[in-house]
Amino acid sequence: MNNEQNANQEAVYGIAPMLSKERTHGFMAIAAVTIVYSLAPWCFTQGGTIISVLGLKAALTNMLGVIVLFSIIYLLTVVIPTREGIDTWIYQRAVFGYKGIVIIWFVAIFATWGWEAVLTGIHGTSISGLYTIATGNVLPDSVIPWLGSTCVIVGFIIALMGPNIITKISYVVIPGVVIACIVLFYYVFSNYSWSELMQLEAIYPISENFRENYMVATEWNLAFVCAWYTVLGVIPRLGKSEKGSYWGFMVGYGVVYALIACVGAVGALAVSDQKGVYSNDPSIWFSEIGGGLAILSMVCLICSNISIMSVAMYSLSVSTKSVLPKWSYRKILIAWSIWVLFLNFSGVVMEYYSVFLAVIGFIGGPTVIIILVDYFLVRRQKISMRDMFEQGKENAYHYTKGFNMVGVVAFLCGTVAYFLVYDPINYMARAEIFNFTTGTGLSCIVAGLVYGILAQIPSVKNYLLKDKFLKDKLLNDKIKNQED
Amino acid sequence: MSTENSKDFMELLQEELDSRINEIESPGYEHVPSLTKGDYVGMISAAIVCVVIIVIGIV
Repeated sequence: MNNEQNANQEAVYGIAPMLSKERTHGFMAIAAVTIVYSLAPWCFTQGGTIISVLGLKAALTNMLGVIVLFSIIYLLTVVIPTREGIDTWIYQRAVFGYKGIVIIWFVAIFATWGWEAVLTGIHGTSISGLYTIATGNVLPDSVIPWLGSTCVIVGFIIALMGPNIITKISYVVIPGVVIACIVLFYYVFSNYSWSELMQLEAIYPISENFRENYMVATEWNLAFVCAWYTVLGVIPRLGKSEKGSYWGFMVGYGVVYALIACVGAVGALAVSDQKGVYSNDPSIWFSEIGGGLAILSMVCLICSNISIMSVAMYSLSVSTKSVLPKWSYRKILIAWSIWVLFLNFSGVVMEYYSVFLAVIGFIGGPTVIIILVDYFLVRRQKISMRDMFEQGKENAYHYTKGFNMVGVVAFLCGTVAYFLVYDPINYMARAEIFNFTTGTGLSCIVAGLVYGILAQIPSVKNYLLKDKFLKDKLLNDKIKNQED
Repeated sequence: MSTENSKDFMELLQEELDSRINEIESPGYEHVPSLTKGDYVGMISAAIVCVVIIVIGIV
């Protein structure tokens, strides 16, 4: 089978509902897969960003507490693909309509590639750092995006080779990032005691008011959790039980994700304190640390970046194929590579990392809460599988010309609430309520409440629950026919 | 190359969908085990631990 057929097959089996008897992943398997995904170098970037506004004690407790707490709610989403056997992108046809979800999908997936742009940034500075250590010369900044683009090119070639090669190459991710973590810890604890570390202050606080800094950091951490929005539906479809899926995801996407970000925070702060150089880019830390272990860590980061890039290119391209079935796998791969190269050369994601987090937050936050309200409270876990896949006007999820206006209104209300209370460009609160809820938190609350309250209005309820009425009608017709 | 491989994406998809939806909508179909009361207790306990961690960081 060639890679085009591979992608076709995978897209088909990625879209079609997975039957209970086909499930292969228990708790341990799901935890292992999610841990691999959460060991990405951009977790260091997150930790390095948080430490710029908070001292170490507040930063560590904020990352652990906020990321895990929000994950407890956010990751309930995996119950849907586990129970129903369909990707959350298919389920969202019920929440936003057939056409509505395509728009959200495009916005979310374009933004998601920003994480890969973070990888190209780290990749470029890693190679540049290695060159400096080896030769003593410093490369000009203009060269770094060109070095970063090698990550895209090599990732593209590996992704073209297909899933088997990618799986083998992805095994370098875990040891690579773990080695980098160990080197960072060794460096930090060679220079500081635990109590000394806890005394270290924020590097560049936004405000003199601790609470404002704390809530901005909380906002960034909530958005960090929302990064999982686009990939929450693939792995849980394989889950043998809701329990195994949910807790497996909590371990990987919740706890380990937060812990790696904590390592990043400790590393960034220690390097800044010792060398006087602050950056949220881990390759800069290793360049400053210097020596053989730092070189080893940078080599590990380079390998991890390429590996994660190839995994992302393959999986996101297969996912794109389900929306654009007539495009070849190669064509999709080329299109996404151009987009990542654009992000890489423009440098926007690394320069405006917090703004990028804001985009992820205002899309991934309210949408997931609307999904949870829709599935658990409005539909009470009952859906029409056939209507998920048939798109005629008579079908339950056709709504208004392919748009579920209740979902659209709730999402827009959440987005408006977000921008009313938070200015993501200047990292400033626009209203006092931000210091209680944050922007992403408020947008989740507003979107969930609007959707839930609107769904209580009888005519809106009929509009949303057409699947239930169609199913009941079908059942009644069946019984009537049998009686006749 | 097998016949199945030579089918285009839409054909393959439609065939798979029909057979799987029929099975899922059959009366005897069993879903995977659901979350239990213990899981919800676990979630609440984990949430309390997180709140304690956050409070430790603030005071």
